[in-house]
Amino acid sequence: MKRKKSGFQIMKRLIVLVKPLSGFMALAIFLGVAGFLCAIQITVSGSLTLLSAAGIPGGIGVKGGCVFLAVFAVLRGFLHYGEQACNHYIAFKLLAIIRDRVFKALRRLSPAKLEGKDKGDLVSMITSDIELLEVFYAHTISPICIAVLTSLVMLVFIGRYSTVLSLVALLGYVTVGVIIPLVSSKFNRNIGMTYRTDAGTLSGFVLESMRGLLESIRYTNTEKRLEEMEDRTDKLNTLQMKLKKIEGHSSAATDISIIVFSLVMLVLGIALKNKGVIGTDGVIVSTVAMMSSFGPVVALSSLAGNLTFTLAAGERVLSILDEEPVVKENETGKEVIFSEMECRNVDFSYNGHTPVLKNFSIDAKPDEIIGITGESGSGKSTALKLMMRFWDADSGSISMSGENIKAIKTSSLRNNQSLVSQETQLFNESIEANIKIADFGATHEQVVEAAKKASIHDFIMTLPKGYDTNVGELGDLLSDGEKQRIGLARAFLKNSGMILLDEPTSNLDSLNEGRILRSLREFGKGKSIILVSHRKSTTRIADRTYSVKGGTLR
Amino acid sequence: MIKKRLIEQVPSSKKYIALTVLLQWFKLAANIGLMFALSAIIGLVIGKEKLTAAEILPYIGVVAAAIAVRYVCTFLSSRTSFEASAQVKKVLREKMYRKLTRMGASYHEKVSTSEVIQVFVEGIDQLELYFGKYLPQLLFSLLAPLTLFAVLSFVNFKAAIVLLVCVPLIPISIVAVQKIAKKLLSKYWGVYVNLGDTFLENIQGLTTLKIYRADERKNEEMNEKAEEFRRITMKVLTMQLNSVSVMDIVAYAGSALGVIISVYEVWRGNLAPEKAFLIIMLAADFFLPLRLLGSFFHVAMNGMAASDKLFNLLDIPEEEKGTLTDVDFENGISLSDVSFSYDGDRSVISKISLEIPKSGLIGVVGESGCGKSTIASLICGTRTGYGGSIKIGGTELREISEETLMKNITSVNFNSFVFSGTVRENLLVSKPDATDEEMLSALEKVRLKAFFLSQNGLETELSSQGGNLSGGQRQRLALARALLHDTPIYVFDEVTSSIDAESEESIVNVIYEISKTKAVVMISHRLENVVRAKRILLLENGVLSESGTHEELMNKKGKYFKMYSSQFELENYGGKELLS
Repeated sequence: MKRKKSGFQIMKRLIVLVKPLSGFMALAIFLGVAGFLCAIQITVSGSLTLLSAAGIPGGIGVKGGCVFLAVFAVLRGFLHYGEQACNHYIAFKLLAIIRDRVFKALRRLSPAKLEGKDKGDLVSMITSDIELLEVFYAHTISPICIAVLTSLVMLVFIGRYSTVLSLVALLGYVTVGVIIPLVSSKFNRNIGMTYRTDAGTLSGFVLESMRGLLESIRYTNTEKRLEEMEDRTDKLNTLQMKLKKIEGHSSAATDISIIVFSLVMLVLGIALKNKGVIGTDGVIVSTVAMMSSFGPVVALSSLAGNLTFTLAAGERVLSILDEEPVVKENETGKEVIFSEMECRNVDFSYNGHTPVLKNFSIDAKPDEIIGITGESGSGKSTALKLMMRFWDADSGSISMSGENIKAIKTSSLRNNQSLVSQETQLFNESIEANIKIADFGATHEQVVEAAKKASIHDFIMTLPKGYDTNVGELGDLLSDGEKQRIGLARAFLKNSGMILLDEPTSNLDSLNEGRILRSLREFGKGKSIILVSHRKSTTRIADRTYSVKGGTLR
Repeated sequence: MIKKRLIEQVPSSKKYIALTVLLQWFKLAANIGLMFALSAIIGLVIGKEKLTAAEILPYIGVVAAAIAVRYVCTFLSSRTSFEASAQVKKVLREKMYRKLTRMGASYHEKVSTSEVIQVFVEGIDQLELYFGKYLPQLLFSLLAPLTLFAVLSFVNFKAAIVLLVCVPLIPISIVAVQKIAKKLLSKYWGVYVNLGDTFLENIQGLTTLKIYRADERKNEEMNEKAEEFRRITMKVLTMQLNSVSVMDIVAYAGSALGVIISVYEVWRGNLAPEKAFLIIMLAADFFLPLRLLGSFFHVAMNGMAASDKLFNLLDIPEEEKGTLTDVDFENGISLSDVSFSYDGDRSVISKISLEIPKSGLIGVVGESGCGKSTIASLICGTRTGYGGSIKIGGTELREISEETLMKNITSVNFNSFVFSGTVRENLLVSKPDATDEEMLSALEKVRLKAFFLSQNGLETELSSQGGNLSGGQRQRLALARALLHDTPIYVFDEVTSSIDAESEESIVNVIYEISKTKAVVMISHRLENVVRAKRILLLENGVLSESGTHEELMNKKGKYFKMYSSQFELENYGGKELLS
């Protein structure tokens, strides 16, 4: 009972989420209902006109009936146009709105949220959940509303002849739109789930077979690869076959339900006519109305299977929107200019009980390079992230220019720090734009100067389009060393008082490592550089080196 | 709209397409029978004040029969429509994969890899829909109106002919749409995918964006892009929607016209009311199949586009391939006057002559773009069409069968592909019968054993394209795989470019160890790696400019000396721990 309620709550909140679109959604639903009614009226008012033509009472007149019939048939085309236009508008806006909301939430929650262990899982979950939510809005809410409203209109219409017949219609709509979909989704839920996962794995396998074709040829492994691809396809087909069987039964059940309920309507109508409760017109019109009004409820048949998944997706997205950031950004604090940084007796743990840093103290001043070494898991990267306030220390203090960083306006803190991490994240735009991430207002000359300092300028100039080369087009042509140097160019462009480097050379050979170290030494003059690395060859350029073990300095 | 050649590719589907159409036709027949029965009952309702059960019972029998037929046909047709497409994926992918395999390791010279991937993955999925949904519906939508006309012409010819005449107006409007939308649709999908990618990329890079306070700007940029995309595609869609509503107007106005005519005929006394009822109930069925077809037409268009690309690929002429299998790989390789050009105009390498002895390491160095990787790919057969001669054991390389070549030469480059699956599966690719000990020792040699043992050993799962490994770990895994391959000739192309100095040294040592008994070519931009080589070749602009041992080249004080000295200085920057 409780779960069901929360399902409705999720739906309610999801609808509130896209409030700016509610007008368009209502319009789309209205147009959809009107369109269905226009289609239904062709047979219904056709029959009503026929009654008049045949001299049976209860008709709407031959001339008027024909005009009515023609006008609403043509109108149907325009209503459909309007509905489709609304739906497309909604679909485009929806994705944009949800992505915007989620991105804003993540901006608020990061860096802490995205620096956790399972970053990859989180990112893929968010992207797939958002796609599922689009299905919820565009293909779930509106068909349900349209089916309910259209069916209500038809129930009232039939009810004008007889309440009993109206009840038969209600039973018919519920059977086709609710009972059959629910029963069949109960049968295929598990298979459907497995099918979706397996289909995903297969297309991944297919994609890799093609991307890795050269590798397969090299190791004369193509036959085996092909065999496995075919085996997997066969396996998926067997599964799909089971699914189709259930689908076949359910669509056949839908089909005959429509006929059976129409027949019941007719026979019951005849019985009522025999008793003198309704006239000939009542029998004919309600039967025709029943037969031609199943369209909207039939559209619901494929929804039930997906609803569970979409609701779960909705719940996850909502929980991200609700989540409180671990570190609340300071928006009103002091603005500082870097003169020194100090960590004093810092303790920290991610989960509250396993300490990562214990009694950690360190200080950094301008014009010096500080090395922090230690094995992986020693807490050295964590120390760096605490200085950037990804998280707040449990106890002890971290301060910049004599001010506790918690009291400093976060944007001011960021202005004083640059970060080069283990892997430089590039965006699918030009190299120049990628460097300008660090300072959007920089001129081309400043970008070139930063690139020169990071000794990546010469490489960029060998590319046919130079700084305008799109990073995505380069793909594999950009080596890890070049990527790291673009990351370094960002740091130089920003020209902040501190440059923090987190394992900047762990994926580089000694030649690229040397390039980066030389850049730091030669162009980092006047700056405070903190270099975290497990490699002695990297920390050799440091003026002072701290060694961390088990979260404490040695 | 029907491509004969495409259908011929999957002959097994023809039968099922025909069956699907036949079953749908049976359904239609049952529906006509059903409507006749209902109209007969309505005739009775109109004619009599009171009806007894006995009077309508025979008609109810007809209805029951129609229900039975429809149930069976609906159920079976969902099965046959599945069968029509079930083999499509398998058969077409197999054809494509085999074609590329036949084209061989140099396939990427002739086709764009990204396009091949697109057809292979999405294109063929779309063709599945083309076979399973579109083709049966196309045939049925031709059959249905004709059948209905044949039946209804006996009831009332005027109404039947009006309905039939309206039907062709629908395909005419579909064709009009297709002409306009064909070009625009492909663009539209490109942008759509981009928007999702942008979002993903922004999340992945969010830490960077936060640090540089560029997150808000990226957020706005993302929203602007989405809005711009919406504006453009809405324009496209408006055109498409125009035609959709034309189609709808034709379908519904057509039915309405049929209804009006039958009502008129009743009014004139030419038609019994219950017969008019029959026409009213069946009028929509003239148009329904075609409207449904209209909703599949994007499937048809995507399918057509994919099949064009597929046939372009299948039709690429295959070059004469080498066939010799009895070749002596144990005695090195000899290159004489080897040249290569991508466009036949500008040569990438020219007149390179070189002896690769049966054992010992040959180092090929030079600045990027000097042609050193081209030599590697020519020797291992991933590029063809060289000038001059490359002889292995006295046999010309281009005459050796590709399979033999691949079985005797192992080549590894800086971005070797790592498959998703377990570490074990990735290693077995090169040696299917490798034991656990062999695999672990190969991992040990590339310094990955400890890392994987800390995870799940050989069963450690790797995500797609080795995404959960770092660049260096991927390179090392590819190396371990190569070590297991155990062939007389090895070609290593920049295999340590992402590997840190400590591991690099031990891996380079492993490579030197191999070269004691095998022919090894090592390409490296880092000269320190080839210092101990038997011979070092320095390439400049595709030409061999210096060659000799490290000592000889250093004494020469030429280009090699200059490059080595500047690299040495760089690597020992800060100079606290000078390398030997």
